[in-house]
This record gives sequence, C-alpha cells and structure tokens, in this order.
Amino acid sequence: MTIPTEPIGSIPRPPELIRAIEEAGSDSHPSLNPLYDEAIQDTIRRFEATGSPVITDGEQRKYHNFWTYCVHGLPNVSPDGFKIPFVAGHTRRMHRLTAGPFRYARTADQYLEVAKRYAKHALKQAVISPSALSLMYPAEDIPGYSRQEFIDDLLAEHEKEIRQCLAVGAHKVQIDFTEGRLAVKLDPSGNLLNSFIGLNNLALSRFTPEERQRIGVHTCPGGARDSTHSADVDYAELLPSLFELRAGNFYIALAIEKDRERVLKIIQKHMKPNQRIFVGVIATIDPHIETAEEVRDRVLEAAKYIPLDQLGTTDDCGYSPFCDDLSTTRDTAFAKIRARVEGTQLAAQKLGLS
Amino acid sequence: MELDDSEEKLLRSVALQNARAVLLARERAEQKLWDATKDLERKTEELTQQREWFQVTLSSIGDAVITTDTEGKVTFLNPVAEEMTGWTLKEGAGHPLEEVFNIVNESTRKRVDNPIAKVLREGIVVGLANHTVLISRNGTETAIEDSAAPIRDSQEKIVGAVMVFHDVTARRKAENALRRSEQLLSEFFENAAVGLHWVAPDGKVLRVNQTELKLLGYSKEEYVGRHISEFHEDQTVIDDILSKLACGKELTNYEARLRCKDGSIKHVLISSNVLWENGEFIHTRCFTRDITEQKLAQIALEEAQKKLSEHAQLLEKQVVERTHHLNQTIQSLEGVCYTIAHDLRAPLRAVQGFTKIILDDYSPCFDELGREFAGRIMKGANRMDILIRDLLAYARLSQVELPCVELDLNMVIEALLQNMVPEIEAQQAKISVQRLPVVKANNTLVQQIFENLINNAMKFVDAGVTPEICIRADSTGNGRRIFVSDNGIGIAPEYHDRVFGMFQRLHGDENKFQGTGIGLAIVKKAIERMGGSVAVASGGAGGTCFVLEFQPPQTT
Repeated sequence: MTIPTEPIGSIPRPPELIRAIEEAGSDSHPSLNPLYDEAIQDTIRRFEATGSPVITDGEQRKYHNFWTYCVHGLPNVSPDGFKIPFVAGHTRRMHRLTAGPFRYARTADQYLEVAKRYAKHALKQAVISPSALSLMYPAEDIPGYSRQEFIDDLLAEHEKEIRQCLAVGAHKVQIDFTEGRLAVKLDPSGNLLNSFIGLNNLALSRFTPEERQRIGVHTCPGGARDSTHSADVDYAELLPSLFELRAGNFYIALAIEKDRERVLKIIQKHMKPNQRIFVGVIATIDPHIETAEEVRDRVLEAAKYIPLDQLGTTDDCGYSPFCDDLSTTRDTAFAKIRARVEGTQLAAQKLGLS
Repeated sequence: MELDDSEEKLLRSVALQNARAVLLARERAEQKLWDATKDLERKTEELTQQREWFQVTLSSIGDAVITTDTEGKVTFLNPVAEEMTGWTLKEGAGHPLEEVFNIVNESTRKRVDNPIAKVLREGIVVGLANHTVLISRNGTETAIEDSAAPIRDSQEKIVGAVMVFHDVTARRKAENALRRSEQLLSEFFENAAVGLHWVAPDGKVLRVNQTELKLLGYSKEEYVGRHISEFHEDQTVIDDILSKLACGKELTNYEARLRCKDGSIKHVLISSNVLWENGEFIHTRCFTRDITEQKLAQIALEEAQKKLSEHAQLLEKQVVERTHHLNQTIQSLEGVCYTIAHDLRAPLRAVQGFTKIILDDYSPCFDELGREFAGRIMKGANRMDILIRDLLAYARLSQVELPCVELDLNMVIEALLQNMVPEIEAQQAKISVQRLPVVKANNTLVQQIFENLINNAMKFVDAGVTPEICIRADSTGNGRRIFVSDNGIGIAPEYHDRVFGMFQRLHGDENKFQGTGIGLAIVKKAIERMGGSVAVASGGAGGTCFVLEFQPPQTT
C-alpha cells in the first residue's frame, strides 16, 4: 500500500495560447486547434515527468473556466448572471439561463478523449457540480420552463457527463464543489448548503456504490488569481455536511488553511469509513514552491488524523481555474506538483508504506 | 470585495428558491426510491418464491443438477446429485466442480475434461463425452449422460453454469446387451447353416449371409442391392412370394428355384415373413434351404415309381390274362373231370353189378379166397363210386348253374337233418340247431355244405365219444355268419391252411376215419360259389369249429 496522490485539474495555459486566443477574438477559432493540441500534449508530457501517477490534461480546452465550460456558447444563456466576489477584489460573473430546456453545450469526456491519445498515466477528469450550475436559473421563473424542470434537466445532464467520463476510462471523475463555502457564506443557517448537498446527492444517488468509488468531490475556498471567494468561511461549518455527499473521494484544500490540525480534527470527526480523503498539501495560490520535505511533513501531519488506508494527497485547487489566470506559471505548477508527488512518497516511506 | 446587498439578496433568493426545488426533486426522488424499493421488495419476493420454486423443482426432478459460479465452484446440488456424487450441498458448496464431480472415461479410465470449464469459457452448451462414468465420494461408479449449459442473467451475462446429468447405468447395460444381442444375431445370420437374406420393400436385397452366397456362388457385392427376382428362375414364383409377403402372409417351405452364378439351378424351400414396424414394411426375413439333392432324388424316385407302376399294371394285366386262362384251363379240367367221373360211373356200375351177381349167384362156385377177392372188388368198386360221386359233386359246382335265392337256413337244415336221420341215429349223434338267418344261397349247395360238415363231425370222433354238433349264427355280427362246431378230434392249427384242399386227408388211419379227402374242398368251393367264405378254427371243447360267411339276402 502507498499513499495515492492526485491533482485537482487545471494547469496554466501557455502564454502563446492565451495571446493567440486574444488575437483570434474567440476561444473556438479553428486556427487555435493546433495550439490547443500542442498545449495538451505538453501539459501531459510535463505532468507525467513529475512522476504523478494520476494526471489531467490541465484543462487546457476548458478555456473559460471550470464553472461554465459546459454552458459557454449556449443560445439560451446570457452572461449577466451572478457575480462571484473574490477576496482579492475581483469578481467572476456567471451565466444566466434565459429559456428552457437546459442542456450542456459540451461535456468533459470530450477533453478526456483527446487526452487519452497522449497520456500514459491514469487520467482523471473534473466536472462542475449541479449545485454550481443551479445558480444559472434566475430569481424569476422562466415562462414555460419551471425551476423544477430545470433541476430535472440539470441532474440528467450531470449524470450523463459523469457516465460518459467513466465510460471513456477516467481514473476518477471529480466534481468541483467550490460553492460549498459560498453557500454557508450566503446562508449561515446552513439551509442553502444542505440544499446544495441534497442536489448533488440526487445526482450521486444515480450511481452504484462501485461507480461512486470512482467519483470524488473537490472543495476549496474558490481560488482564482491567487484569491478565494469564501476562505473566510470556517470548515467547521462546511465539512460535516460535505461528508454527507455520497462520493467515495474528497479532495479538500488544506495547505492554505491557517490551522490545519483543527481542520484535520474536523475531518477525522466527520469522515466516513468508505471515504478517501485527499488532503491538499500544496497551496496553489501561494507562489512559494513547497519542498518535498514540507509536503512530507504535511502528509505526516494529516496521517495523525486520517487512517492511512483512507488518506491521499492533492493540490489545494487547480492552478488556473480561469483561463486568463496567469498568476501562476506552468513551471511553478509542475514544480509544485513534483513536490507533492515526491513529498507524498517521502511520507509513505516514513510511514513504512513503500 | 464584497457583493452589494441587492446582488447578495438576489443570489440568496435564487439559491433558496433552488433549495425548494431541490427539496421537491428530492421528495420525488425519495418517492421514486420508495417505489423502486417497493418494486425491488416485490421482485425480491417474487424472486425468492421463484428461487424456492426452482429449488423445489430442482430437488424434485429425477435428474441430478449441479450449478457453479463463474469460477466453476459448486453453488448447488440437488438431492439426486448429492446421492450420485456422495457430496451434500453443505459439503460441496464452494468446492471446485472437479472435486465434487469426478468423471472418467468408462473404457480408458482417464479423467474426462470438466464440461463446465468449456461452458464458462465459450458460453455454449456442452454435452458430456460418451461413456462417462461418475465416481462418487465413496468410490461408487455410475454411468452418466447429459450436458452443461451457461446460466445467464437478464443482460445475457454468464453468471454461472448448470450441469444436468442422470444415471444411464441400466440403459447402458441394455445398450451393451443389445449390442451383444445384435452381434450374436449378426454371427447367427452370417454363420447360419441355411441361407438367409433380407429384402427391402422395393424388392432389393439388403443383406445376405455367406451360406446363401456360397449356395449360389455370388459375392456379397454381386448380390446385395440387386432385385431378388434376378436370382429366381421362375418370375411367377417370386412375384407370388413378394405379393404374399406384402399382404402380411408368412411363407413356410415355399418351393422355388434359384439361379446360380454359373447358370445352374438350385431347388430351395423358402420360409419368410416381413418385419413390420408400426405398420411399415421394413424388410423381409427369408430362410433359404437347399433341397436340390432331395428334389433330384424325388424326381428320380417319381420316375422310378412311374415305371414301376407301369410295370405293375403290365404284370397285373398279365396276371388277369393268365388267371383267366388258368380259370379257363381249370374249368376245362373240371369239365374233363366231370366228364371222366360221369363216364367212369357206367363201367363202374357194370363192375359193381357183375360183382354183385358173382357174389350173389356164383358165390358157391368160388372158394373162400375167390369170394374174398370178389368181396374186395365189390368194396373197391363201392369206394370208387363214392369217390366218383364226390368228384362229380365237386365238378358239378363249376359246371352246373346254381342260382342263389333268399333261403331260410332253418328250413334247409331241418330238411337235411330229416334226410340224415339214419346216419345220425347210427352215430347216436346229438345235433343242436339254434335260430339261423335267411341268406342268399343255393339250396343244393347249402345242403351239400352242411351235410359234409355234419358227416365229418360224426365221423371224426374218438371211439366211444358221442358226437355233439352245434349249428348257430353269430349273435353279435350281421347274422350271416354261421358256426358249425363239434367235439371231434379237431384239426391241428398247422393244418388249417391245408384242410380245404382237394384230397387232403389229415388223418392217416384210413380204416379208422374213412373219407375221400374231397368233402371240405366241396364245402369251400360251394360257399365261394355263393359269394361266401369258410374258415376253420379250433373248437371250444377241443373239437373243430367251421365258420361260414353267407351273403345277405338283398345282395345282387
């Protein structure tokens, strides 16, 4: 037995790709395809070079962001949705659904299909949570398309996306649930969080226990441009509900936390026997590149609270959840990943697991 | 940066509305789950019942059933399988099938491949190899037969395998017995001393044995497959045979002629019938027995008999002719005899007359010796007279016409005895006559017969014995048989054949018992002349008994 380690997903796009997209005026111009392809191959090559046993395509083609990739370009959405505020002072505006029915414009298995051509290591794929997309339905009901119909369509589309990813051969399918803390922030009573948990569980309950062991949930304060939208929300308010999700794996940002041991204790208290906890050992929004030893120590710290057969390591978040996020370089990202892989191995050795 | 109040309020509003929608969706999902759970429970119940039904069914059927999982490990044995393998379900469950189901080849004793492995590998139904023997846990061997098949779930995925087998020991024994029986039959067929062949409904030879081939000189290839009529000399015969057999008749020793390869003919007796199955003509079963030698011998015999018959007819004709000639000769001789006897009487009368004159008138002229001689002449002449008279009587029987009429023997005998009173009294004979029948006869001849018999009876008695004569009719027969018995000296059995011959004198002392030896010959001739017969037997009291057969009166 060793300690599994997995990334979250995104890697900063190459600057030349970002420039080319800006010059083309569209992220889907056919002339960009070779650059996308080159970026994917380079990402996978460098990812595998870090020794990470599980990799991603760096979400090179999930160009706009991890949240709206599946609805971007739909004719029945408008870009005037909610603004999501980040600590650093900037906002991200979501899409708003203008008419039914709700259907994904694209699903993440398409990215996985491409990545499989080049990858030798196991590939995982991140998808957006239904709870995140549920915020697309406006306050006023859409005539002829009820909120209830929207929820049904949303669950169906989400289920289809996960099934297709599993069918393509995803090592894991990770549901990005970064709005958990936001829900607590918006509704301290916890009702909204429970609603999000309930919605996501409605989706997860459509899968078998075996399938759910290949499905995970990622939560973090919502990192973008080295900032977060809800880092000020205490994990103590989130984690008890989070572990009610019927997923087999949890990817929890931890490195960024000021009092990791406190969080680990909360995790220890609320985690369930069939859940593997991938603790964040890399602070992705921190420009400092962790050393392997630092990572090792974080793993050893986590191992005090989490049984080894339920322990895994990950990055706190993706390195570039939004396409225009250039705060972290690709080199830094891969250096941090390497540190995670090596540090995890060191910890495993220290713990006598390898 | 914080959201402005209105933005946050709106977001909260949306989120909370969503929460309500999620709650409804959750309720629906829960209802769906509840329904699904109920449905699952119902299906589980149905499945349980079905499973129990299958368990009971599998436990009840006569075949042994073993099921395995996808790894070939036993999951179920029904009671028959438990008994045949020696493993209980509890013991066998989880064990590899090879341990529980140990099968070998009946002949080679080599282990037979487990069919389940192939079933699971290829997903097909696999039959057990022939001559498979199951060795149970305690070493008992059972001949088995049957097959294994995959068990698939509703998605056609193989989830195990089932093997069904049954004890075929009895059947295999029966098959072996049948095989031996067929072998014996075949050996019998081939080695039978008689020819055998089978003919199909279309008349073509299906099978033939060596004896028949050897008899006719053909090889099997030359015989089998050809129409049976090609080997028959007589088309009508084989047509008749096939026709009779087709009608369900059975032939026994039907004569036929078969043509050999060298052109020669064999005479045979065919016994045949048809093997029918459910009314269908399968084939004939013909036994062919060679009788050529007997037939040829029979033909030769018939020819010889024919010749013999012709010869016999010729001989008979010759006998008839010669008999006729002889009768003519006899008749001629009897005529001569009658003539001679008749003619002899005239000189004899002269001798008697002159001798009587000598004795009566010239006796003193002769001395004693002369007189004695004259007396001897007279005596000899008298004897000759009697002899001639008898000869005349005998000869007359063939020379004189003596018509037969209805004649009451009682009256004839009564008249006769009246005439014979002097002789009877002289002999003091006792004659008893019982009731006699009416017969067809000639009065003269009847008197002659009874006179001769009575005279003989009175004559041939020992000295001092009073003759006793009984004349009676047969009380049990047709009443035409007359017995004349006496208490005389009798006739020895060795002389019974000779007693009716001419001049047969059985008693040498001529002085004691005088006679010409013609009397009984006259009796025989007379009775035969009337169409009757006479025989002699020893009398009951040591004398003689003559049996006379007369014709009944209505005889023409």
